[in-house]
Amino acid sequence: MRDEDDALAGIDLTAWEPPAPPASLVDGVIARAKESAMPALVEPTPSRVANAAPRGAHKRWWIAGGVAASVAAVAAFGLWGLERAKPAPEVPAAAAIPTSGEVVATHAQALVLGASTARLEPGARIAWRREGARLVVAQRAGSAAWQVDRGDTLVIDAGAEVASVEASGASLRVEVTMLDRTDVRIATATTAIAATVALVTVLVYEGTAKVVHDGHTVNVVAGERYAVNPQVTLDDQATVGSKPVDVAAKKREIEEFEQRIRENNEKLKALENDAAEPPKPASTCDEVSCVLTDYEGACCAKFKQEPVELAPPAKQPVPASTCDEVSCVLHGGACCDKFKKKPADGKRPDPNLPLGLDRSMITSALAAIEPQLEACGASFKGKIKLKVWVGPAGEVTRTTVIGPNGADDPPEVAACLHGAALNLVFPKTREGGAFGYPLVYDGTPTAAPAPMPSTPSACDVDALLETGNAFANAGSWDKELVKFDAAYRCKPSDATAKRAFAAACNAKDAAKAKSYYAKLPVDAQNQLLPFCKRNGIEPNVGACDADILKAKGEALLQVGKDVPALSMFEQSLACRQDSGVRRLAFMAACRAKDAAKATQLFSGMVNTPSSLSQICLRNGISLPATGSIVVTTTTGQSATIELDGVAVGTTPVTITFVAGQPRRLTVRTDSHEHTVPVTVRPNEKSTFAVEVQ
Amino acid sequence: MPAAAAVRSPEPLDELTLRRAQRGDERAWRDLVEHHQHAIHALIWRLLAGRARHRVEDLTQETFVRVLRALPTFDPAGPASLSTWMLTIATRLALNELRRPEHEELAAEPMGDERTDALTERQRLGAAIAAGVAALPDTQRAVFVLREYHELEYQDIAAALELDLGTVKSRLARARAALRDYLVAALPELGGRYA
Repeated sequence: MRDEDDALAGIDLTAWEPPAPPASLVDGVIARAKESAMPALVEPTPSRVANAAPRGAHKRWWIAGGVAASVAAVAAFGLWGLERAKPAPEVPAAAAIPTSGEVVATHAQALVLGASTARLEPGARIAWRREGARLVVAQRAGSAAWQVDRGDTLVIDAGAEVASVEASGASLRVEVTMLDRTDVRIATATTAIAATVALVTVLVYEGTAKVVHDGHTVNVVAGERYAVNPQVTLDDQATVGSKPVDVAAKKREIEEFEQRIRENNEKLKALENDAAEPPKPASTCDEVSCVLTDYEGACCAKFKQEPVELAPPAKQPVPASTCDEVSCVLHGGACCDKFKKKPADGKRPDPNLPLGLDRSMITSALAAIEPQLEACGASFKGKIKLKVWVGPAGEVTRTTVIGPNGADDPPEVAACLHGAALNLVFPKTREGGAFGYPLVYDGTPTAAPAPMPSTPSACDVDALLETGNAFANAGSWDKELVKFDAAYRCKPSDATAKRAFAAACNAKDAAKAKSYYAKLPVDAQNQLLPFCKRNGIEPNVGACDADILKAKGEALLQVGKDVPALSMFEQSLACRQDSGVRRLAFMAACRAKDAAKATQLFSGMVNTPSSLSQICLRNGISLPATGSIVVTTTTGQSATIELDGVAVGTTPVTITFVAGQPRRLTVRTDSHEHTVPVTVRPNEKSTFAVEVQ
Repeated sequence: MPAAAAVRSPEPLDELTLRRAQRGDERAWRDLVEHHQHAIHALIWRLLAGRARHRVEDLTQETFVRVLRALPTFDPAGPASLSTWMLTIATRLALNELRRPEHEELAAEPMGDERTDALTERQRLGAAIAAGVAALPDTQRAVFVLREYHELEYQDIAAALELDLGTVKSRLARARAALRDYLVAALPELGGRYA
């Protein structure tokens, strides 16, 4: 029960749920409280602790420190000409980034170095120096997650010259673990050797990092981890001892050392999984990765098949670790059942349907588009593997094309094959399936495609679609686009928009692709976006992403920047009409005291809540008078009502809008549709009974 | 009392633990922080809505550190309960943070990466409330959050924010009206309810 006004009665405010506090909070507080309660042994760091280390995090450093780390640290600091450690800096303001400095992180801490940042874990030793756009860093110990701006080049000397890591426009994690004698069990190692015994691991989340060590350069791509083993060789070992060298014993030591490194790598991996870090890509040993790397590596053996004939249908299940809804849309698999929409009656798929695709289904579907597949490679000589994933409804959900030089090679042929594969039609199954299809082209042009059907009349949707399909089958994407474009203009529908969008992507018509992308429902946008991107078009990039513009407008509205918020909402509306965005734009216009725009937006609105109108009134803006119309049907049959093409409800429905302005009222049932002009008088309510057949 | 309280104030900490914590017993400190961490974290997270979210964890830690430092002087029999006292400290820290000039130019957080259409109804409502509360002036937001989500009495809110009772009530009423307007605009399906 509320004891105040009822302004928010009925609104479930608990829907705004805060996240749980971080697991490390309690440990962090206790550590800081103890620190402040005891006399400081060292100069205390400022209290801007981003996040204290989890209780168990100290385990991570079980092999850090010791003589080797100390020597390495001294060497590192000497490199920068610095004599002693300074206190860890606060997160500096953008205007006051020091050009050089160093940090020994005693707790988790953020480091802002201009546009690039680092998240340091406790124990990380970092010294940096900025040389224009070049950020030169010495990371002598500990772990740091680096976010490198595109305008910066980060060069990390990791582990006292064990490796150099270079990246730009990338997100990566660099771990430097110093190994002491106990760790590596090299009884004869000298301090000089120990100082260089560091394990450097680079994990790239985004972009690419170049790792140079021992004269080798390795490019580490997103999702990959690269560990640099210390340079301990038999020769090195043989020169450090004063006694005669026992080669067999040294070999055993090295083997033991290498085993130790492997164990440490595993421990690091396990700890990393425990830590709250950015999401990591799933294991790269999946079939697609293996195809891209030409089945290199032992883990790919299980996927290796000779593409000599039609492969049997095979499910490509999403790994359990990545079984989210998006992956399931793309790949399907057993783990995806939870995301599958149940039929309207709530029953499971018809058990009489076949479980998955069989050879005959695939053969007959491929036969239907065979001329198209041949046409795609008319001027190409070589082998290409087309792989197709099919959903239970028989629709193609994903395609990959692997050419002689990897994915989507050559681009023109690959784009053509992607588009052609979308025309494959399969019968319904319970689980769908996937198959690979090797295509061997000999560079001989194929015969001209079959003649197209005669040109349909200007607005015969079925004929336009049929002609468009024929052009699609012939691989004439631009002509296909013309027909689907005409069909959409004749009678807009989501299905036609999808076809037109796909045609525009195939035809590489970026403007049309963007235009149709904006018209697609969100789920279709998500489903078809990767396909268009494969053709080099990014329809969601640019000024016309209604959702992004809306989100920007909301963000501006949140901080009271009403004028720019209004501008964002207007751009969003220009991109895609949306009644919710129109209301937000109206609200922003009222707050911005822009009477002309508020009135203009209000004139296009329907059933505007009085509370919203009052925002304008409070800001001294008078709005035009409204009237209402109650729409019913003479038979009582339910009909969908649209005003100027925007659905406003089903009969009986009351529609309120600005008086004196003619609007188009559309009444639609399953078997009936007609549009009439309507106007309302100020402050009056009239009734309009529609006779439906 | 307010109907909505996503993070209700926890039951009072038992007296023995409180006394031990006042004596500096680490185990008791830990219990105290664990007991109140959800409420304090949630309060700061909400007060920083739209701005300076990256400082939530810092400020939550800072609140507890200050609480533990000042705990020996806290009087359990005094006018404020322990939880109200802690919420007061957290609120003032958050408001101080919001007054820092560097946050003025920070872009507000968008409602989320997910497309609105894909969100469930509850998520959409939650996102809209977040955006609406973020749009409130800081002082209105503080009154609103302390009342609606932490069930503080008017007098406690007045004391925490050093306002008089009438100001608390008027700010609360304005915050509710503004939030309602925002929700109606952002979620057209709510429109009929308030038309």
